[in-house]
Amino acid sequence: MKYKAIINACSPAYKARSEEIAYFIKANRSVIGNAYEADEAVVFYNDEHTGAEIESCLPFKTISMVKIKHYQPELILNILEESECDSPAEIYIFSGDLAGNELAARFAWRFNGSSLVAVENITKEEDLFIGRKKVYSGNLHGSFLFRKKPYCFSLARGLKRLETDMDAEKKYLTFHDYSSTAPGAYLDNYMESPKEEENKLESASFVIATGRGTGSSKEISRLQNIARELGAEFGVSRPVVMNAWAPLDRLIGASGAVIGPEVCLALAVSGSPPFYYGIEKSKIIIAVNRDEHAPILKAADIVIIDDYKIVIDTLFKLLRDEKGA
Amino acid sequence: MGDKKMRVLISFKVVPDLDLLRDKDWTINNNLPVQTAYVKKVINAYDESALELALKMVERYKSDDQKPELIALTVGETYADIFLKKLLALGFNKTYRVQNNLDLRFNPYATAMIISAFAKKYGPFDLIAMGMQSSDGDNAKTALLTAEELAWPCITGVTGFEPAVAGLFAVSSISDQGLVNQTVHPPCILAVGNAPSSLLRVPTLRAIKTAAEKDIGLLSPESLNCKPETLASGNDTELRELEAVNNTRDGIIIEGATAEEKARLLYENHLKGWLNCR
Ligand SMILES: Cc1cc2nc3c(=O)[nH]c(=O)nc-3n(C[C@H](O)[C@H](O)[C@H](O)COP(=O)(O)OP(=O)(O)OC[C@H]3O[C@@H](n4cnc5c(N)ncnc54)[C@H](O)[C@@H]3O)c2cc1C
Ligand SMILES: Nc1ncnc2c1ncn2[C@@H]1O[C@H](COP(=O)(O)O)[C@@H](O)[C@H]1O
Repeated sequence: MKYKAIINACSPAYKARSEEIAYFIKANRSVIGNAYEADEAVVFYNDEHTGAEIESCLPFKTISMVKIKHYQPELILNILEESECDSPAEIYIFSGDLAGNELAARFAWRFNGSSLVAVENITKEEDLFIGRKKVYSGNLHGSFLFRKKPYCFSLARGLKRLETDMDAEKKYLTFHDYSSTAPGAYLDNYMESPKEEENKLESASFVIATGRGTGSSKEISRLQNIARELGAEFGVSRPVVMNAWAPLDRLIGASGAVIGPEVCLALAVSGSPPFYYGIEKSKIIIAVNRDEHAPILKAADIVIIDDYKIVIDTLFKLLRDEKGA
Repeated sequence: MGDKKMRVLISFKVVPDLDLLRDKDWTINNNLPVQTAYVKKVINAYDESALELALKMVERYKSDDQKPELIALTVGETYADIFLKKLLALGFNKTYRVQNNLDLRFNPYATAMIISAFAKKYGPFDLIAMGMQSSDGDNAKTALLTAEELAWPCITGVTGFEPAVAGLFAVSSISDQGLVNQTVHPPCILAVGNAPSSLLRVPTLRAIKTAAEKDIGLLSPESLNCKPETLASGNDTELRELEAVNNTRDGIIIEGATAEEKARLLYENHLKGWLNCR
């Protein structure tokens, strides 16, 4: 089947997102088909530097490079509508990020196709094309039939990546410049405060993750200090952010950071699937919860059923004594 | 000129509180949909933020006759009514429920068609705010499809919105690039994501009493010219199968007489070496 990947390279994480698509294509070859010639991508970018870099690092054979002023879904959809209308592909794979989700659903609508957001894998049963994704807040997997072509879907967050082979075959690039095209009359003013760096939580080797059971913003600051002393990055569950006990960039989970440390110490979190999604890739999960029925306890490697406060304070004291000695 | 009242529609969904379900509740049987009818209902997390952000926005207008009109809409069954009453108590001017007998959990198409039909008939609206994703369907599509059907722009990952000069709105959101602040001309759809400190406020007892007398607008899809057959068949995907997710790690439980002892065992047996050689 003819397929295309759509990538938002205005995002600083475009390389990781592209490598996820590359892995996904490799893992699903039996469904998509083997033609390497079909490896096509449309890449939206807004920065010269990225433009030059992309050429060498994206794992696609034919790349259509589209320069825009800044990421803006309406503009991108209009460009795609124009560029794809003559010979649309049968499958459009969008990256596993916010852009991918919104573009997949809206693009499919415009092309009278079907869309699924956050797909983990695809299968084909005879002529039926099926995508699998998490539903019920991650409590279950659902398999969905795509009813109409083109099949458009974005990937789930944090799938495996395929490192790019820099010396891969020659690429065919075309360039298109839409950087002076206005995004749309509805927009009066646009300002981005770019991310300074990738979220530190995502690369940390030790993370202390805390939840609603901590009870107050004062307790959260205290725990954050302990985490710093122990050399751990500090993360929280959604209720902590909603109560404004911690800022949003500390959020772990399906809608926050997806971490993969050596050790994740989870204190006073119940371990609901949207949260667990964020810590699932940790090598060792240590959970402290006083409720023996809390779901996190089954999904952890080491478990203490007790008051987290005494546990973390004792740990801290033991380590400090050791260091002091 | 300029004194036309803004009208803001918030579309929200009432969902079972999935956090209350335990492992055994997720056992899948032959009839596809999971039985959640008996589970306590809540307003979907992101929609709760959308509702609260709308209340916050209205507070920004100084004089009463400038304050936008707030309308809340849900497509669902009678159990949604207590939430609609609550919203009336919180200051929403009107609330509507579209009585629906289809299973909408995995049919964002139908939901979007109903919401946009409502917007056409009961509009014009300057803004429609909704959530980015609902907790039972996890579709994350309804706001986007509504935007396409109405041919309106849509901003996702919204964390706040407020009035700006000359009838415009200032919208803040989170994107893959970082934080975004933009000023937009209405109409526009806002899909609210993780908006910090946007838990829905609680109405006073007095307000609840007053609201109890107010009516909820009850509509049917047909009254909005939406045919149930088309709503069911128009969906672009179809749920085929549900499977359990297995996260089990078979962990070891550290036993001890006191919490201190357990912490010490954790330290000695598992963490000490690792922490000290990092
Ligand atoms: C669309 C959607 C997306 C979402 N995305 C995310 C996300 O990205 N991240 C996220 O975290 N959530 C997310 N959620 C919310 C999620 O469903 C849960 O509501 C949330 O993770 C619960 O957080 P918690 O575990 O901190 O709170 P709770 O579920 O209230 O758990 C608190 C725990 O603390 C324990 N506890 C209390 N006191 C103590 C003590 N003294 N000692 C030890 N244990 C104690 C309790 O036993 C309990 O298990 C999302 C929800 C939706 C609908
Ligand atoms: N039945 C409904 N009634 C009103 N709004 C809904 C309904 N279902 C979904 N929505 C809105 O659409 C958003 C996304 O839902 P979904 O596409 O199902 O993930 C939700 O956060 C709600 O704001």
